[in-house]
Amino acid sequence: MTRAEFEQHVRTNQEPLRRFLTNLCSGDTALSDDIAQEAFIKAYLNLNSFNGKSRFSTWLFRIAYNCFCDSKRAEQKLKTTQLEERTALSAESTDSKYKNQELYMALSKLNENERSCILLFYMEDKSIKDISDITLIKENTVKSHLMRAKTNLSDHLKSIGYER
Amino acid sequence: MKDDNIKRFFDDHKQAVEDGGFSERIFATLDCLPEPKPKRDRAKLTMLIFTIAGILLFVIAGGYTEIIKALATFGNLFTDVSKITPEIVVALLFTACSIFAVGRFAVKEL
Repeated sequence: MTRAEFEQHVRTNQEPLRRFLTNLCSGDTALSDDIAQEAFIKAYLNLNSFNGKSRFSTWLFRIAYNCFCDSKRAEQKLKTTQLEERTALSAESTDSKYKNQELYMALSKLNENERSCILLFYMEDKSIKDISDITLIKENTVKSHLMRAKTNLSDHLKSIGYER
Repeated sequence: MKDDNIKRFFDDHKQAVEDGGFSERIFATLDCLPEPKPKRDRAKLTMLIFTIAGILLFVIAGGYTEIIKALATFGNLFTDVSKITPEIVVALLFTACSIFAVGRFAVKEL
């Protein structure tokens, strides 16, 4: 893949990828953009390992999801030592959280795996197989996560008028 | 809850994310990075080398004559079943496993 082709992929995929990461990060756009940037750079440096078995966007989402998991692990390590800084950061992102409060409220009812699966399936229109490739979760387990997520979301969505 | 309602909820809340210079920042970072090297498909080269080596060995060691001989004596095989020792059975089993493993590896690599 040439640099020009990669640039085209960046332009095409930046929106769905950043939206997915923003929703995973509960609206923290600064963090999600950092992760997205890291994912694009990793993808560029490892273009050789893209074997074309899956679509480029699936491969890219997988890298981004791994970066998100790494960032989450690192965050958990810092949690106890940098409590004050974290409070400042969360205050900064309150505006963006408010904008999509309804969505983030709904997503907060789900655990991390359910959230990833439901966002990829309903918001990014990925197939079960693609979700399995991105999250490295078996297809049947992805289906179970989706079922559980739907059950968990059901009451909340009813309360905000999504039942007709 | 029906699938349609969940789909509608996520469609209603699908945010449009503006590029806002994000792509340009990525491209600027890429300018500072080395060009990724083109992919070398070593699997195909390895297969070619070993195929040629195999054919050469087959020819040099007189494999063709051996096959003819083996086919000629094949008829007598079942008359000598009593002569087969456990070592021969184990050797045959391990050979079959090795061939199976190499085959699986080759399929996975391709």
